[in-house]
Amino acid sequence: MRFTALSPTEFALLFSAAALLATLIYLVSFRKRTVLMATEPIWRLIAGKRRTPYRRLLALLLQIAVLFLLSMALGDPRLALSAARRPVTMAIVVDVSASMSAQDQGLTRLERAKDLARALIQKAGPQDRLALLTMAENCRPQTPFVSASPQLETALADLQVLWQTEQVASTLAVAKEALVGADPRAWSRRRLVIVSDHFFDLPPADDEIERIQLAVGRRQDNLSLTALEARLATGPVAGSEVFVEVRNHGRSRRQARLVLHTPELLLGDEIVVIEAGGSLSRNYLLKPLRQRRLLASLLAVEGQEPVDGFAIDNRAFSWLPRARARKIRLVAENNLYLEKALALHPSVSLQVIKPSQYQAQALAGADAVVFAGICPAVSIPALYFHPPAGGNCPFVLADEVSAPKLLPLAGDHPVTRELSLPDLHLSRAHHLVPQAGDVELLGDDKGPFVLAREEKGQKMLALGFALGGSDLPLRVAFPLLLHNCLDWFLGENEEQEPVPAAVGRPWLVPAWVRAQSTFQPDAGDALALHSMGEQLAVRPNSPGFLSLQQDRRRLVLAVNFHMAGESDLGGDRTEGQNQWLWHDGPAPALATAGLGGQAPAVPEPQWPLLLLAAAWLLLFDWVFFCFRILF
Amino acid sequence: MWSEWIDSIQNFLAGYELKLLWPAGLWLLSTIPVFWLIGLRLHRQLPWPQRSLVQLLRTGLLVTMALALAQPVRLRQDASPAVIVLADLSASMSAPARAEMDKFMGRMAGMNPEGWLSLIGFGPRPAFLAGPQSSAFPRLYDQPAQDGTDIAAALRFCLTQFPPDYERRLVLLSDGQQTHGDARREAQKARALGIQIFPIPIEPPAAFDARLVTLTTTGQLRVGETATVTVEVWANERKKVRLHLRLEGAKIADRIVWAGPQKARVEFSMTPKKVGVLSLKAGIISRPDRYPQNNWQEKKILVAGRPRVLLVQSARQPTPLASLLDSSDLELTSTTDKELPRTIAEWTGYDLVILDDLPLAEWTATQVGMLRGYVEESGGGLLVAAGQQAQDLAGPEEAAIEPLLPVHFRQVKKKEKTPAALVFVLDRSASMAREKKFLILLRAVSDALARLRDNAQVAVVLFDDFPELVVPLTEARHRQEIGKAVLSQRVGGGTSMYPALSLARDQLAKSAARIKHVILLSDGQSISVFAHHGHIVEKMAKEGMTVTTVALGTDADKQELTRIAASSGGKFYFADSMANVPKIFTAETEGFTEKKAIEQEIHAEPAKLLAVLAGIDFKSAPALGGYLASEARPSSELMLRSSDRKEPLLARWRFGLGRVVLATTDIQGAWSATWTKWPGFANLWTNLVKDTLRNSPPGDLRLSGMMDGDQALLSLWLRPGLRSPSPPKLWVMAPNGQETALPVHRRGLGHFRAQFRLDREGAYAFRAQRLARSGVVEQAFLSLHRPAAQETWAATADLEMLADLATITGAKLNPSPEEIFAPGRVEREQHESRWPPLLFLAMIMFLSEALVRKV
Repeated sequence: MRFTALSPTEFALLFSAAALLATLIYLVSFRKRTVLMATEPIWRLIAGKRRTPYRRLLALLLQIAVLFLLSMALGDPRLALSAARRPVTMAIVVDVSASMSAQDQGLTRLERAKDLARALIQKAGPQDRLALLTMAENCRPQTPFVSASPQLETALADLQVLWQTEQVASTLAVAKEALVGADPRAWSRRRLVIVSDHFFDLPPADDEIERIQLAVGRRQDNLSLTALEARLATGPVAGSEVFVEVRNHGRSRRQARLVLHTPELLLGDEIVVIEAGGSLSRNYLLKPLRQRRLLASLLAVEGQEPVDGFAIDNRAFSWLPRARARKIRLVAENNLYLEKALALHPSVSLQVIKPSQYQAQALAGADAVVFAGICPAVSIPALYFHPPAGGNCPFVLADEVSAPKLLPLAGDHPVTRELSLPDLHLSRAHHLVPQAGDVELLGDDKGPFVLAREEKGQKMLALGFALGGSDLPLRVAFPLLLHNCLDWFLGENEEQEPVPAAVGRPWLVPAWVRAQSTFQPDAGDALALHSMGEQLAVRPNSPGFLSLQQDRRRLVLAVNFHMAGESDLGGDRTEGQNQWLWHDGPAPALATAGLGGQAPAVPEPQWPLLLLAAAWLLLFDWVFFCFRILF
Repeated sequence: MWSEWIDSIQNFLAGYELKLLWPAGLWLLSTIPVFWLIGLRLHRQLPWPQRSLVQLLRTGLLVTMALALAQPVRLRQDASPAVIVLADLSASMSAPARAEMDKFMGRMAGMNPEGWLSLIGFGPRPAFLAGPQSSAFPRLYDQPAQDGTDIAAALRFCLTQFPPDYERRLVLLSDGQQTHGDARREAQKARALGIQIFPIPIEPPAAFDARLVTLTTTGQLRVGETATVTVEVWANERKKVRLHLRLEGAKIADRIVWAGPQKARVEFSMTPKKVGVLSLKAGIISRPDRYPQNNWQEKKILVAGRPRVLLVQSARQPTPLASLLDSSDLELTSTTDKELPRTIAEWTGYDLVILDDLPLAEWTATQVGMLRGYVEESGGGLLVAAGQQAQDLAGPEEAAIEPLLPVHFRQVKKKEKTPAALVFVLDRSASMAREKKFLILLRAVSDALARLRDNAQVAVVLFDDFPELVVPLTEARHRQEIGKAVLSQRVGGGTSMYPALSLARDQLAKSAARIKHVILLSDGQSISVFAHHGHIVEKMAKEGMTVTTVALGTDADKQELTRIAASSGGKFYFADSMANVPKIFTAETEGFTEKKAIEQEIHAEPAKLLAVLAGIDFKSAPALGGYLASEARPSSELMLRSSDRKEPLLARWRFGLGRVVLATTDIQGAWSATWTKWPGFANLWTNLVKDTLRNSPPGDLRLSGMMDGDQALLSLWLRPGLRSPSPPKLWVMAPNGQETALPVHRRGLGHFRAQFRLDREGAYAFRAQRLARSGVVEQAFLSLHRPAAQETWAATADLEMLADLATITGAKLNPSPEEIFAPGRVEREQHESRWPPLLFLAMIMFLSEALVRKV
């Protein structure tokens, strides 16, 4: 029983005060009674037997009882109904995370979950109140707590899968708050029912809220594409290196077709076999492609059907990188060897300047410079072929030798890595005088012909021989040497690796994107940007490509679904206390216990009964007073 | 009739906005006559005034109770809205902001104490704080600050909280700075549901806010190295702030800088003195400051120790080399050859080992084996100085360490019973008397005798027109007698070489030695010539005898002497002065000498152009007093050589994964005493040490990372083609110092990724490691800072967003409580119970009656 109008303290005070007053009144006697002495024995005989020593005290008690009943009535007590008779306030949380889209015998798991939720809703009575919430990355209330099932069923029908993973802890917190808010006095049975495709390890409950988990669907095997990454090919080779990884989340070995393609071209198609719980990876080296959209798909071995019932992770998307253009100046006179070798590399933007026309201003905006036959000091990375003696050349020439017997190339420098120049022939070459800190890359037993230098952050490489006087240009290693040199000068040449974009996660856009811009997926509505503090972000809601065009700039985002937890379609499916698997039929009894009852939502007030009881006691009091029974 | 009566009562009461919910309760009035009848008995007991009063009170009591039992209620049409107040409890809401929110809540609660009012707090998630049934609203000031703001989630949550039949209004107390979610989008949905959103911007106090934007420095350096630290500072208005830098808690820089809306970039220098993972913190002090949380950043840096060098000498003593190395940026450990490291692991701890003039030939196979493993397998550097103590390296037996060295010592490696026979055939013609040439010659022979092995056989033949066997073939142990016989000789007449050669041949023919050698010296023209007497030389050559000829002076018959030497497989020397003769004799007799060293003044010259020798003027170098004769191996690199005989003085080669440098002289011993005072000494040995230290090629392992929310996304790049036994390993060190291994996932050729959630503010250090070669570990290091709560990174409230919420839902920005509680369009009938006062009146009446009874 609970008081609803007064607190227990207030009731106690009121009753105490009233009882005290009654007692005081009882103790105070203003009027003396007159007794006739002569006939006193006769009266004593008539009334004396009925007199009790405590009759006046009993009268006081009767008055106090009346006051007690009146005080109780003022407190408006309500009797809590027994658990079996209480109505139910129930929050139905339906999992709408990505794994609920898995097909299971013709229906998705979400559709099965909706059927189950519908079965629960149909059991509710007029006094029960239900609310529908969804669980994914956030817990989202879909309806208030209502008794009317049409509103609930409408909301249920509108539920869609979100490409997100579920967050149980925050869902529990929100659902609990909602239940407490809906019934703060806990007149009803408060119940939380989670409908998902597996069970969760819930923390122990510290409140009176019943927690029930219902799982739909069956355990399924699933293959997923867990990685599709592309980067520029290393070395002077143009193109991209692509890495693909497939994982088998199931319990048995699986076979599938792994297809690598662009929207127009098929690049790779093979049957792969992956052990249970294992993964398989492939590396591809792609030539430069015009189309930068790259896709990988997992298909059934025969035909074009999806390989399993969870299609979202059977495709992956990637945007092929482009090498950042390197602005290279070549200061040489008709040196076709160098021109062609440098131009071979797709990322080199070459500008040729004749030595006679060379001026320092010509290097403005250049990333590096290659000199052939001249040797001015410059402030950017420089490669010198056959520098002449004198002037302000940073390299000093020593004696010239003819047909030197070369020692092996020093291979532990970034310029000479993976290079091999056996039997390189130089008709004539100048030794170069090394400085402290220089690295001799190639020379004979008298000194170096090739020196690498790094001085105050500037890198230089000098070769003391002319290309025309050696067979170096004819070697396969020649363009590799140039490429290594540029890499050493300028570092890795690749567009800055962006944060990978994933479904459902906000992706911070570059600073140049305006707030009004939108991202356009290949299919569907444009996605607006939203603010994340000081930055703008876009939240992709499905895998694929998103593109943004702003003025003359274009940004393309490859969005992938990489949620290992959602791709694992197994999960804990062990029934236990408050955990049931549901496939078909009525909802489990414990989930529907108490629903449909006729008990009132709020307990009936008891104060009228107390008032009537008080009225009866007043009658007795009046009779006793009037007939002097107790008084 | 009863119902008519009730209807009339209801109609009557309706005029006063009252209604009886249970009119049947009025039936209690029917008990009044019963009470009156019973009360007639009172007239016998009580006087009539008292009796009347008692009756009256009892009747009033019954009437009051009957009215209460009928459950009278006051009716009113109520259009007051249901209001939910959403209070932003994120970290961006300062204490004054919370106080302001509390004040507002007080006004709201006081404004409409009976209205429907609920309070929900939110940060990244909403939390129910108090509802209409609650007796009081909690103080927002006391609620814990939360990291993150998701207004959208809070708006969504409120959907379940509104009661039916009320106009629904949300009051949003916030500064609008959201870190998650899209509030505008939720506002659209709220509008569809008829919910109005009344934002009340809680603007931050118009206080100054400075922020430390970035802290950048190199992640890895060596102790003692200086690195640049770059700090970017921003503020919402231009003002001076104090910027300080602390390394491991100790302040290393303190500067007043101007901060303003344009980011200011400040550079500092830092030179760590400790080894390990150190904490570098930059902070701004400015008062007042709206968000002190964004005033600092921390980075972890990995400070590696200096290269470790082990210097092994014969005795613990201060030496010029030790002093030189000690004063450089190396960690030098000096020891003796009696206290060498005992295990390969101890050896491997050093990046370079210097063996300075030790008896290396005496090293055991075990010792050499460990040294070899250190160089060959772990890539350690070895610098050996082979001076006088190491002479036995050039001895007859091959030392165990010799295969490790870039030269081999060309001595006869096998002892022979009668090792060699040597005959001096010397010109005593009259021309030898000039400039005391003959005397000097005899002394040179005498000196050569002193160096010969005791069991070497020697003979001396002097010639002028005729030969004379001055000393028949005898063992060198009789050097005193031989010397006396030699020094007592005098010059003679003409010059005829070939009879003397024949005599020498006769002597050598008597010897069983395997090596039979003749040294022929002449300063003139021989009357006997090869054309006539060359058969003697040819015969000697057939018998395995070699003849080395020395032409002394320009008058000597160089052609004849050259022919003789060539025919016999010997060497020809031209000595333009007597001063060179002793050296020639030394060179020619070294195969016969007991001593292994060449102890004579020699100068060092560079054998080739080398960076390690750059800038050193060897022409100014003083002479060395000796060296061990050797030959460079084919794959070694000759760096310095003797200026006269071009023999190795300094050579190096790669041995396995490491490098070995050998000096065939001492560095600071008897032979090179003068070198220690030469200015080039320091440059030479410093360069050599640095060049020979163990290192691995740069750039094999790279670690990069970026923040995505509270997730750190890490990439490891391994140069493709490198053979590595296993993927790189990665660890993370949290701000509390706890280190955890992170799994890495392969994402391409040489590319790995890892992910880690940074769950608290502070600097995290990531360390990647690769087993590059056996015993060599390559590391890459990265530090990422998880900043303070994200909303502290915006200085102003997002009023525009808040205004949009009001506009979208048709509400008003910054309303007053009166406007919030203004009646809406949704009306409902409200019942206010009126029975409690009636019950209370009944109690009073009852007590009054009891009192009146007693009077």
